[in-house]
Amino acid sequence: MDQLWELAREWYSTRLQPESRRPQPAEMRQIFARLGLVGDFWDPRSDAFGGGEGGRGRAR
Amino acid sequence: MELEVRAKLAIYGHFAAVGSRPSVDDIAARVGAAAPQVREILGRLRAQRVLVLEADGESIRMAPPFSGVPTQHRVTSGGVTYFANCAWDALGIPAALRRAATVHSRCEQSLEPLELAVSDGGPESSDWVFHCVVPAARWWDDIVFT
Repeated sequence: MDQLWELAREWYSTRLQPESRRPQPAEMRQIFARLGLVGDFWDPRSDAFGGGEGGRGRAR
Repeated sequence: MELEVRAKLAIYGHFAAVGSRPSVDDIAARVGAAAPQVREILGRLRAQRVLVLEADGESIRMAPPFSGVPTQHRVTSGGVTYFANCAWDALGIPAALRRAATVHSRCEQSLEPLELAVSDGGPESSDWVFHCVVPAARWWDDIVFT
């Protein structure tokens, strides 16, 4: 849960601020990596699941 | 400030203040714009994946971490009840509000109700595990399922 809290803070702590914006794929990877979330599952551009930025799937 | 940014802030401000989604008229009144302008902005925010809209193209289903519809992830804070889109977003609400909250949810394995206090410093100690089913590259294939 500590890891999930850090993820929630990274993602949403500025969401009510004017400058807030959704993380882009490269930023997402950096955030995940900082929290130890690595590998294809956490790669928004991975095509290991038939998707990825270069395929049908797209990043959050 | 650009109208689109003001509209986004109006949407998030409404969720933060009352816990529920604003209507097009609510947003229009708050930013001083006409309803058709607001609908156009909602479409742009959807294209940017800032919002998820219902099939009617104007009702806000998600303004992450907030949900525009009731879900199993309820968050209470400051006397306001919020709904989150998932367990991640349930912690995202106190993170966005920057204040303490209580998450009321359930265990997806046992279906037992769960309650978790979240302070400024994070959630109380627990042995709960967050399970993410969908890989990141596929989240937006069906973001409601994700």
